[in-house]
Amino acid sequence: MSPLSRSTSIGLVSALLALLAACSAPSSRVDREPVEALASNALGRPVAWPEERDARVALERELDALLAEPLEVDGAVRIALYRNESLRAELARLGVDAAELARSHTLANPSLSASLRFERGTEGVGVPEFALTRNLLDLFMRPARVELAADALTRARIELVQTVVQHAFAARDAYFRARAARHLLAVETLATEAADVGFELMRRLHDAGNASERELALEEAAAQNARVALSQAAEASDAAREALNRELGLWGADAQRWTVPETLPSLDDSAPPAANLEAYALTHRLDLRAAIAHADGLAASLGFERRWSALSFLGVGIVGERDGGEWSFGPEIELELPIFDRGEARVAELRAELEASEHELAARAIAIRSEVREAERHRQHALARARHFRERIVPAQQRVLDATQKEFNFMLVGAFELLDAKRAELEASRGAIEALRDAWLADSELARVLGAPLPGATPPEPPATTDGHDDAHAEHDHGG
Amino acid sequence: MLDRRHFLFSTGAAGAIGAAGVLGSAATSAQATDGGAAPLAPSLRRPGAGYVPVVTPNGSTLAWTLEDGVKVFRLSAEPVEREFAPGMKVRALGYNGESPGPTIECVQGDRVRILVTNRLGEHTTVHWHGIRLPNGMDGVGGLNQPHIKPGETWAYEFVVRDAGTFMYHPHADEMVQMALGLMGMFIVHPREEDEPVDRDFVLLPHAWAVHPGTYRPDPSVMNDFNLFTFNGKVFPATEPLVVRTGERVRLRLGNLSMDSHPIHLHGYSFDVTATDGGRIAKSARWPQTTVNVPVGSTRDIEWTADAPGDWALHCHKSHHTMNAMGHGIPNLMGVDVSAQGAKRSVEERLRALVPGYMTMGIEGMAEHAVHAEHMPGPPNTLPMMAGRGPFGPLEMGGMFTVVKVRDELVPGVDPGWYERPPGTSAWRVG
Ligand SMILES: [Cu+2]
Repeated sequence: MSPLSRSTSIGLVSALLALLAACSAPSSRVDREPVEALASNALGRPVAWPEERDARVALERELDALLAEPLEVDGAVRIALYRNESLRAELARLGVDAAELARSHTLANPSLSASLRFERGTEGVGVPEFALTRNLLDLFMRPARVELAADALTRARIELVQTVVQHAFAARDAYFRARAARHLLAVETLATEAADVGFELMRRLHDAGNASERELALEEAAAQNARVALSQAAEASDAAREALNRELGLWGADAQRWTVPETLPSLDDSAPPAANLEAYALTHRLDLRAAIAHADGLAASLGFERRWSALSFLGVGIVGERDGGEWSFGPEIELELPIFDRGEARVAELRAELEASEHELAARAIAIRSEVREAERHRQHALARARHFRERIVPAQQRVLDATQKEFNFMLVGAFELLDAKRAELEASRGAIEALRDAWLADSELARVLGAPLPGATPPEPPATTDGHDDAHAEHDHGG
Repeated sequence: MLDRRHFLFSTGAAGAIGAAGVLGSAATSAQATDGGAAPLAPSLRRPGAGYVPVVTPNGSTLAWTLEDGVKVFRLSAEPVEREFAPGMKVRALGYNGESPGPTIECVQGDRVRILVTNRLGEHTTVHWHGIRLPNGMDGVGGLNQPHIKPGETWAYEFVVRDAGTFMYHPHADEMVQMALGLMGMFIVHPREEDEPVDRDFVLLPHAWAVHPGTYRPDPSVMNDFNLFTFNGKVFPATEPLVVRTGERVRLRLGNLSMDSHPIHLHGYSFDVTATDGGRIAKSARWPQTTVNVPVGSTRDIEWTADAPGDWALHCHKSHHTMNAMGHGIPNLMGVDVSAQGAKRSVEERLRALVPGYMTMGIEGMAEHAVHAEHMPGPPNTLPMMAGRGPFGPLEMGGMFTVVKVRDELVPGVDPGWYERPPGTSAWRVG
């Protein structure tokens, strides 16, 4: 029973109630801004998913306009970001993790116990009694829990952005493949026409009595073979188109109406290889940031557990008792005695997990460095091959064609040699297109491995992983 | 026996000699004058003047010096650049800067010493084709003498016993050295000319393989020669043979190529008067208009140029009167390249792929001569037919030249195209 006077009791109760209620729960709305910031950095372009109706209508109109014109790569990525339903599903899933964060800000609810105490000789009327208890440990734990939940949210966001980035890169790659496939189909169409007109010319020679059955059959075989190659190129172009449709989330009329320009864009390969790409990747790679968040969360948990390992329950509360029409209140404290479980096992477990996460972090960083080197070399080789085709092979074949034309002019060679030279030139163009496509893919691959666009053109700021507490992590240089 | 005039003529046209006769071999080629005697000069026959010097169109006669009664000639075997015609220069081999080398000219009974310097990258020799001489002077490397190594100079010395038309050429790595142009003519005049002439021309035809777009003859080609020269020139760069009406003309032809050349002269009948074996008895001659010059032989033909005009002189193998042409090109004669009901003709479809395409040869190839004038060909390559006359394209190349017979000649002035008297030309009747 409480020894306190009523008035003082009431004051204390107010304070305790305030304590019990001490949980400023954050808004539970899905906050996309950090995700958009991360995605913008990773993609090197502004990314936002507007929620307001007007903005969405405007966006849809803009996407429609993009589909009406020959599609450029930025437009394709933009369409994918808004129309790819898998991507939107991931984005929606972020709400689940945000709800988790909201929960972490709330303290455990206080427990209320009530009883009627029947005392002998009290005419059958029970003495009501209650206790409102709040686990105080939960309150002390709160900063750590918030930290843990924030880290979890950070990781969730990062994972989401990684998915977004993957979709964006997949759309970009599909775009270049589709554009290259269209260009290759155009080249194959010309090559087929060259074989076809060769056959036709030979047919005319044969009709005039100037060519043998054998010569005619040889030309026909070549022309019919060329048609197979054309069919394959057309199929590849169809497949590449459909792959891009999937990445862009297009169907129905939208899937039919878009076009890409006829040729692949040239890729600026004049810049020297960027320096310090490995460090650049370590500050931008999202999987590394997720690993850092994980390790930090574990470190926070461990710190808490170390301080409070002996206690698993520390309750404070008020008890009330009505005694003969008078309520009397008094404080209550409840404590779990750490006799059997002193919490060492939990600390040891966390310590091991933390150590493991630090090694995983280092392993990730080392792997990233290697991936960067590989992707950078891959890009350089691919660019060199594309340049070699553009500056050496194609011009050489064009010179062959020019020289053949000059020999043709002087009746040193005939139309069939001229067509052969044309076909060889087309073959070189085919190689050049494939090499340029591969260079674009290698360029994307490096950006993907770096976690951000190549430094140089528009250097993005290192991303802020969470609201508020900005990166001390970025200064860590793990691995290597 | 060698009077002053003889000496003058032997070294070239008047005014061109100066100190040439006593200069060393390096200066010799520079002093050799184009064509030997001036080609447009009036008749060179002078009573009692010895011989009429030969004219080598597009070539020269080798100068000599007299040393102790020996006529000393100097030949330098060396790389030369020979312009076959404007637009084509060939990296050939020759003597004294020329291919063919300068014509050696002397008189029966002369003692000659020929100093041969090898400025090639490999050994060589010189064989005096058709000339009777001591065995050790015959010039077959390995058989009659050691080879002349690069940088060495060797002397050949002999008395020329026979008059006639002879040749000289290497007898060492012959296939390469002759394919690249090492050869020349060796003319021996008789002491007394039984059948004197007013004009004495020397032509050495040759067949070459210079692949289109290249500069150097390909010595590995044995059959598919694609360029055919008279004295290292193809028509229209061949100099005409200019003659005054009524003159007695001799044309000396040699052949060191791998193919025979039936040389045909328009407008006349001629006699083959000599081979490299000597003069043919008059009773054994029969009139001809074409003389086949076999491989490794010479032929002299003689006629009286009594018909003024521009008379063609050419090899009668038609592929020898044209320049390089593809032998594997499709035969388009009579081929229909029209649309035949399709949207586009074969020609249009080809042009869409290769804008420079142009159908040639459906009705014949004469149009080519005109096309070739405005369509670029490979570098250093001549169109297969070229040359223009007073009536348009001549559609010739290779071994083709013109004998210009005129009533009046102005020394040093090209007589131009012949003006046919009225009523003496073909006319259109339909
Ligand atoms: Cu011939």
